[in-house]
Amino acid sequence: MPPLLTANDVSKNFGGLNAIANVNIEVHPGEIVGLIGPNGAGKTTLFNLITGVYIPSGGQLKLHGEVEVDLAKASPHEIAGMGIARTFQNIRLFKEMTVLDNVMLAYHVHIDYSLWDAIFHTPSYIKSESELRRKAIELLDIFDMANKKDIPAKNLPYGQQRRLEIARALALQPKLLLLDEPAAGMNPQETADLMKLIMWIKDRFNLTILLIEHDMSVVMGICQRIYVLDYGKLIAEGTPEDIKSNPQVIKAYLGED
Amino acid sequence: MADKRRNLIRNIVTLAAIYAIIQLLISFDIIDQHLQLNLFLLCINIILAVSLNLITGFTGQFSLGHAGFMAIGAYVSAVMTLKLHLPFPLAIAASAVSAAIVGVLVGIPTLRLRGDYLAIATLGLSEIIRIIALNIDYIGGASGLADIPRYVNWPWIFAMTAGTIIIIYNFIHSSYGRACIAIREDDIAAESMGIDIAHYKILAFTIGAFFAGIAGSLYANYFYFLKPNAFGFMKSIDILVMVVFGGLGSITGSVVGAAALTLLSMVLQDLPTLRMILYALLLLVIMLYRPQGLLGNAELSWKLLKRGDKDAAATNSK
Amino acid sequence: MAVLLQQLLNGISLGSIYALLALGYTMVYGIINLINFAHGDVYMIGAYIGFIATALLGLGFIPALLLSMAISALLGMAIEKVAYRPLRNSSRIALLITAIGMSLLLEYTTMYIAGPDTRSFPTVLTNRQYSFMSGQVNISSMQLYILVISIMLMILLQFIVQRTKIGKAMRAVSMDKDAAQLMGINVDTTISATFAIGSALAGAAGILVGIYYNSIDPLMGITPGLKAFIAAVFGGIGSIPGAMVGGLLLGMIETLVSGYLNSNYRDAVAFVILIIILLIKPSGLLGKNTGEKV
Repeated sequence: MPPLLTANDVSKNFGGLNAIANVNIEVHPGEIVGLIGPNGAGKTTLFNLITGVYIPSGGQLKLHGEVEVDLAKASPHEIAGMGIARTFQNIRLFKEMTVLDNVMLAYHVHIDYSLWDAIFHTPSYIKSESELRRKAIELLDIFDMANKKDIPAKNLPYGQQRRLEIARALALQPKLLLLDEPAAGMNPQETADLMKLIMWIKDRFNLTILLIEHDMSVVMGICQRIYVLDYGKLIAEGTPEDIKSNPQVIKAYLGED
Repeated sequence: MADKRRNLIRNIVTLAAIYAIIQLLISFDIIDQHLQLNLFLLCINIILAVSLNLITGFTGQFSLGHAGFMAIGAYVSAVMTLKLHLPFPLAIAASAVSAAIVGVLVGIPTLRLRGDYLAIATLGLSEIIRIIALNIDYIGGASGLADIPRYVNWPWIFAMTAGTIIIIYNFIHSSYGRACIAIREDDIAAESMGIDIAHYKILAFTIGAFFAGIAGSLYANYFYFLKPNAFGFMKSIDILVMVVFGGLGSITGSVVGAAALTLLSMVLQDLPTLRMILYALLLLVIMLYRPQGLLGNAELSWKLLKRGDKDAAATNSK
Repeated sequence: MAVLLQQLLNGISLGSIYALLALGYTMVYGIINLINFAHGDVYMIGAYIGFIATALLGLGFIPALLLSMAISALLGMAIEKVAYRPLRNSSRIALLITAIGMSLLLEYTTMYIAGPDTRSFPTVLTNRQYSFMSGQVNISSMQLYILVISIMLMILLQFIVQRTKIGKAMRAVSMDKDAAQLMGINVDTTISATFAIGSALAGAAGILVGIYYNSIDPLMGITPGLKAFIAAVFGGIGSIPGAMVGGLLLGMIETLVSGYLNSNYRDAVAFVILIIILLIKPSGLLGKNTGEKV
């Protein structure tokens, strides 16, 4: 099967510092791929390159959908429109907006009413909004948050904020979902639930997932393949078993501590 | 749905009642010239505050140049009615559109700026507008224009004020408005959700300027005369204070803010210096003790009025 | 040629006033990221103190200058303590609105007490004209005073910032507040000192302008305040040499525009420069670029 996302020799430097150096990765449709590495290895930088927040200093980043797209040339909102959604390491919800509005906002790219309809609340607006609302509540239901739809996102407990961020990303109806440390700050029970949820949404929404995670139980438990970054370079790739026994990986992690 | 319809009917009835009662009071001269002047000023201020709130409160683009848009509207309207003898409906439409065009022009270069840099740039742009007006002889330079025909009456003022509130309220409660609020909350996350930030920032400036232009037109064709210095830095601050006082991100808050500050100026109009001191103290006290404004980002609604604003305030404060 | 020289001379005098004011903006912005809208009003108060000292108390120029600087410094510290410190962790917009409120309060309290009228300064310095190039270029002793005093104050400031303990603390706090605190620097005192120094410079500018133009009024600080802020942005906000360069350049550009183009557009020049600099190089002539971390 052809890959969905390819990074070919991708580099990014910030004022002489190589955050990412000549990285090659491939993500195939339907896979859950893990991206691991010590702090400062360049994992989030790679996410920022894929989503267009940064422009690569070198190499090629391509999304292979119906047509092939050069991600280096697209802006973040265009990339989101093409079907790449993400969550953030440090949770970036729209804090003052309600839980429901956070999700409804993400359907924005799929809206079919005009500014005119919005301003005059035409029947087309009313129909479209109530349909959207229904879909958003349905999605929140999957995450057990439908009963919290009217409270501001900032008032959710931490674990639920992380889950809401995933729900919001799903509302974009992406092909590729990037999760940046989804289990950070969760207790073991929450983490176990999260793993089940990720597996479930992957099948339900036909997703491909690339995830950064420090919690090895998550990475080893749900990823089919893993890439390991250290100091901006790819030092290993393979199945969870390969990675577990890879001496370079062990060294990178032990050297960290 | 039934709930929504009942609300809609209730809102229409309320609006019609406000319109009719005030019209009656004016007809019977219970609202005299002096009161009427302040009432009209209040409505113009409401239009200005609500439209600035869209830019600053909802979209998070800190603007200190709203008076500039108002100036464009006022001068366009004055020239069209006074010099070109065109009908007022045409003049008010042209005012709104020209202010909106300037809004686009202001919006584009300011895209790269945020926070206080944007504030100071919008301040600069509106000062440039004022200084240009000072130097055009055709529109009277520093002494301004006089004898502008008075076309504005209660039906006009009411229709424009209610129209502004309804349109901006509807905009906010749509996917477009959610996009604006999302930009205010976190622009990077908004972009990652597929929102074209530049587009919405410009849209907010354009719509905000459009209504400020209408306010300017109403001002020019009610007060007979205008001069550039009425649209200086202080006027922009004035509008901002109304918005902040009522609550950034609350439309009803802007209405309350405009009402409170217009009333304050009315009561203290014979003591202009004292009025400004009180004004300044008010600003400081609000910022120190209730920086989110009277209503925060909550809206005054029927439900809220019935229940008392306790729980709504509780969920919206902080 | 002679006209150009004359314009440049006038521009430098005006520019050194802007520079003195711009220093206060840039220092405060550097340390707490606030456009201190009340700074122009501290300058106005400085001029009024100068007026009281010379016209009412009969003091000479130097004692009046020192008194004005001292009281301005105290005022600056008081403003920071009362209005800005409690809001240090609030949103930028809240802080900026507080600054605007403070500015209005100073302007209209002064107007309430001293009246709205323009007052003229007594002659405290003999004003001589020195002519060059057969009388085509003139420089007044007042212009020389402005220049000399501004330069002295700027040298003193450089010395304080680069060489003294409080200067080092100021630089540390403006780089990283938390780290400075961990290093044992008292952040509150340092911010207070920054306000004191910036305000003293504004007070000096106020009295110099009062004597030079011979007239003061309660709203005199608004326009120079805005322009000095623009000068600070022009030079690179947060940069002390930037504020000096920005102030001098702005003064010269303004006098050149009013001399050669149209004096009515003099006030617009600063704003045009502001927009251009913000679009082309928001970090200013001597500033550094910073980005946001995702």
